[in-house]
Order: sequence, then structure tokens, then C-alpha cells
Amino acid sequence: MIFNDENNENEKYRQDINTIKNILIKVDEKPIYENWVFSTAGILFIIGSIIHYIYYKLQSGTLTDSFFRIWIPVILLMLFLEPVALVRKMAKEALPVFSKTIIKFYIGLCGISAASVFLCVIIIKAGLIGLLPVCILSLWAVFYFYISQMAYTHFTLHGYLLIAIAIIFYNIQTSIEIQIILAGLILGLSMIVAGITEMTKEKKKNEQ
Amino acid sequence: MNNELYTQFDGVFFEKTRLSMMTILYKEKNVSFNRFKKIIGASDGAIYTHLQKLQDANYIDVKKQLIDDKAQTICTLTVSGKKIFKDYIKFLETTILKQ
Repeated sequence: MIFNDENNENEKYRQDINTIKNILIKVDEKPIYENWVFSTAGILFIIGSIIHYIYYKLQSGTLTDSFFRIWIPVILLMLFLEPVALVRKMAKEALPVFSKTIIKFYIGLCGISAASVFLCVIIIKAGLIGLLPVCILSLWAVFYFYISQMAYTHFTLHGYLLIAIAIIFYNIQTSIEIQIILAGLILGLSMIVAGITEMTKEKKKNEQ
Repeated sequence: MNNELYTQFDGVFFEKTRLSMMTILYKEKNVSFNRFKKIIGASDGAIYTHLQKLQDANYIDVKKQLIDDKAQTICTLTVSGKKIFKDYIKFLETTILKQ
């Protein structure tokens, strides 16, 4: 009898450990941005690519011109939208914006962004501008892997897909302009899919 | 081992949903009602009842906060809530090590 009681108690502890473990996994897998930000960023990428294509077809500017006139505004808009989506999400979930986790997340994000910009500058200065789309796709994969550590794990899949596409880009012979346009379209589509996946996951969770 | 358990922890703590709530609170510090609902997936009524029990046992503090012009219920662990959670984790560790 005593033996049975002890077995039951041990079983209860085992279940409690499982409960705690499962909850910790669920808590870690939380959205940090409102899902519209991914789809909006995706649409911005696609619009950027279309404008870049028109620029390219009309031959109305150099690669540097299109970079300053198209891609810098796209990046600036995304930089504005990203914290808005984070602050709104934190407010909705009643989580502190300046929590330890978010501060750590942003310090890491700033580090990755600085390293990415530095890498792109080195590539351009070394006269390897042709490798810029490959580099951007790979760096975006790094962002996905980073976000997946805090948010949903489906970002990991997007990361691997971008790396695979970057390898294909590296091995095909097309002009830099076409590669930039294609990379923009692929990033745009990937962000839209990521946004839709996040929205579906959130909806499912809310319906549970 | 049995006595060790029942002298340290009360019945409020030994329930799956409440243990889950305490775990979330321990990890995230401030947790809204909606967040509990999202993670645990229980009904409003069930979550409210469990929160009430934890509050009555003085394991959690419940406050109303205005966020985006909407009143949100925010919960935090009290000192005794934190202590019992830590003690239970320690107890589980010791129990596992003993086996």
C-alpha cells in the first residue's frame, strides 16, 4: 500500500514536471510583433522590386540611384513599422516593453544589423557588388533564425529556404539588377507567408 | 517523502491549471488575463476561478490597468507565491535526485 502511494506520488511529480516544461515551451514561443508587420514589410519589398524593375527597364538611373531612391525608403519605412508592431503587441499582451527579454532581443538585433551593414559595405568596397543579393538573402536568413529563437519556429524554415535560394543565386549567371529584383520579390513573398502563418497560428491559439 | 510534501504545500497549488499559471507568472512577471487564456487555452470562467483561488491563497496580486483605453487584468506573483513556486521546484529536484 505504502509502495503504491509512493508510486502514485512519483507519477504526480512526473506530471507536474511535464506541465511546467510544456508551459515554459509555450511561453517561450510567443509572438513579439503584430503579424501585419510581416505582410506589410513583404508588400513593401514587392513594391520596391517592381519600382526597381521599372527603373531598370527605363534605364533611368544607376544601381546606386535605385538604392538611394527605392531601397533606403523601403528600409526606413520598415524600421518605423517594426517598433510600432512590437509596442502594440506588448501593449495588447500587457507585457512590459522594456523587459529584460526585449532589451536582450534588441541588443542582439542591433548587433546583427550592424554586422550586416558592415558586411554589405565590405562587399561593395571590395568590388563584389554582384554578390550583394546573395549576401542580403543569407543575412535575412540570419534575422529569421534570430527571431525564431523568441517567436514561432516557422521562421526557421524561411531561413533555410532563403539560404537555399542564396546558393542558387550564387550559382546562376544573371545580371545584378535581375538578382536584386528577384531577391526583393522572394523576400517579399517570404515575409507575406510568414505574416499569414503567424496570423493563422494566433487565430488557432485564440480559438482553443 | 509523503509527509515532506503535504507539510510544505497546500491544495491550492496542486492543480494542473494553477501550477501552469504560477509557472507563467514566474517566467513573465506581469501576465494579463488574455495571455493566460492564450497559453492555457481554458475558458474565461475557468481562468477567473483559478485566479481567484490563487489570489485568496495570497500567491498572486491582481490589478486592473488601462492599456490602449481598455481595462486589462494584470497578475503578478506575491512574495509568498514566488517562494512556494521556488520551494516546489527545489522539492521536485530533490525528489528526482533521491530516486
